[in-house]
Amino acid sequence: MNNTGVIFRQSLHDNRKSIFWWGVCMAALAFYMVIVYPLISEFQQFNQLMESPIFVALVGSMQGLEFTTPAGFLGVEFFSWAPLVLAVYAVLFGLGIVGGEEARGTLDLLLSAPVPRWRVIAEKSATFVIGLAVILGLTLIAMVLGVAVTPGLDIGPGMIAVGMLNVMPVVALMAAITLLLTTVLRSRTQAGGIAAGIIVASYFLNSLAGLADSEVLRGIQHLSFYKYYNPFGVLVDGIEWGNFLFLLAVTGALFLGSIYFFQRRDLSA
Amino acid sequence: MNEAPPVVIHIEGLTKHYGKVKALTNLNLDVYKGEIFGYLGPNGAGKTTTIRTLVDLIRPTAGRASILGFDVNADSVRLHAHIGNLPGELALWDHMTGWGVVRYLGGLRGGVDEKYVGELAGRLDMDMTRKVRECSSGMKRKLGLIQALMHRPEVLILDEPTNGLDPLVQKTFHQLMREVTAEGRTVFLSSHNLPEVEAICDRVGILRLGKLEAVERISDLKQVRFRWMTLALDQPIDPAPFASLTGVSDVTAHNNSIRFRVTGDLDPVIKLAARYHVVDLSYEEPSLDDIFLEYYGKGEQA
Repeated sequence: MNNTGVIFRQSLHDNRKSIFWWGVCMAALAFYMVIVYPLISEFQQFNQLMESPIFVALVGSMQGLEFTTPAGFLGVEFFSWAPLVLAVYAVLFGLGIVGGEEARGTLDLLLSAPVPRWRVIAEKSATFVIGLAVILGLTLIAMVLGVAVTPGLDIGPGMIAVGMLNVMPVVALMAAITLLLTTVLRSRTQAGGIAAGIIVASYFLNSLAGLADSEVLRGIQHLSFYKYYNPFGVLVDGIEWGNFLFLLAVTGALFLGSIYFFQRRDLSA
Repeated sequence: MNEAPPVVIHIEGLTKHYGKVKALTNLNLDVYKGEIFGYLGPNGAGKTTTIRTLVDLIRPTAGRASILGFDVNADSVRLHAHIGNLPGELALWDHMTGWGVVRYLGGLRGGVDEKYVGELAGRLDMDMTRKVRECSSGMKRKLGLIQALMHRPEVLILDEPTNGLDPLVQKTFHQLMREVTAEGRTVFLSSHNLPEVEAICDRVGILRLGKLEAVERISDLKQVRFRWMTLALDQPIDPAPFASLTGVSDVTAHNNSIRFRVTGDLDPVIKLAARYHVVDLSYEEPSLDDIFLEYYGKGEQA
């Protein structure tokens, strides 16, 4: 009996509107950010401002890149915060992969069918990846259009696409953290709260550790997954494949951990 | 000599504890091909825990169970192709229509026989075009039954199947269950609706506080248990001689009649009654309600 992809297709169908609107909103934001570039690029004072400790703490170190350059501008104005915005999508989706169906009770019927538990996680996670790709794809289109109509913003569509691709592992990691928490804790409220806490803590740990002149803090910084996400250099130097693959590997490990726990535990009544 | 039909559901030492709560303790049970087995017990007795273990939604603390020879845990995916399950607390996808639900679940079973689904929906008077969120609890239950039956499973596992169904639909459900077993398929259903169990089940298991108290054929259960007897006499009599008989209890006398409960051999009662002028005698088969209370009554005294 071939029932592969049935859950994936249903999940994609059920989430299509949410994915579309996320894509539209992200695209609108990206377009807006791009077209205000000419106003910003005239103010060289921004470059000093972005080097001040408070901005480094908020958005991280720009690693020598100037804010008023196209790559620096898009790094600060879009790629640095895009994962934080998409964290909402990631956490909500991660909570829903098994937690939503389990809380509603529909998982009982789903798992009464000849479907292994791991397939429910795998097919719904595939929906998440496709959804994220669609959202970033729509955002990419909007950003490319924005760049095309914005004077002085000299950056090619290929590099913007690379920037979008660079966002995927870090957002997937957030979803995987949430998924793992729902399979271990079963309480969606608890899992969502802890996942959000980890994401925010990780963000600030990375930013603050970048400011500190302390070996200990710099060591702890490696515990933050943002450390492995570079929003600034990606539009100049491309993807840092070591970090990119590391984030993917951690995501994969969390995903497998979720399956491990979900395969073994009782479903809530 | 008649051979026993094959065992379809085999439960061996099944135990499920949640911390200190013993939801199920050392359950041993065989259910045979082609029978309707009623699983009786009040809320919290462990019926749903048993069913969720059989469907591999929860894992036993100890013991094992198999259905059609498939281990309910190790072979659950292969097993699920052969069973139909109706959960007690049925939850469906609110945004889907009835057809949406059966197509989704049917897709997971390799396809759905829409003609048969339509036939089932017609018999159960279910509007399959309506969205689940617009359905009453009874309609959702009907949809739950349709999805359990739609692939003609060899074994049906139904948790409180007629909860919320109106009497007419309950009759249709009974008819459907008889058709299922006439085809050699097996039904395991939990219920606290005793008349229903009496009407359709071949055997019954009575569960109490996670322990299986008895497994009996419905007919045997009625025979081996007590009856209520009422004697109408031509004058008031002293109930004491009846109360002193072995197997007689709960004696009440009112005007010219005397009513009591008899367990076991009737002969001493008949012989004593013959000493009086008996105008009328009524002899009531116990309902399963009475039998049920008998089991639980014993438990409460213990």
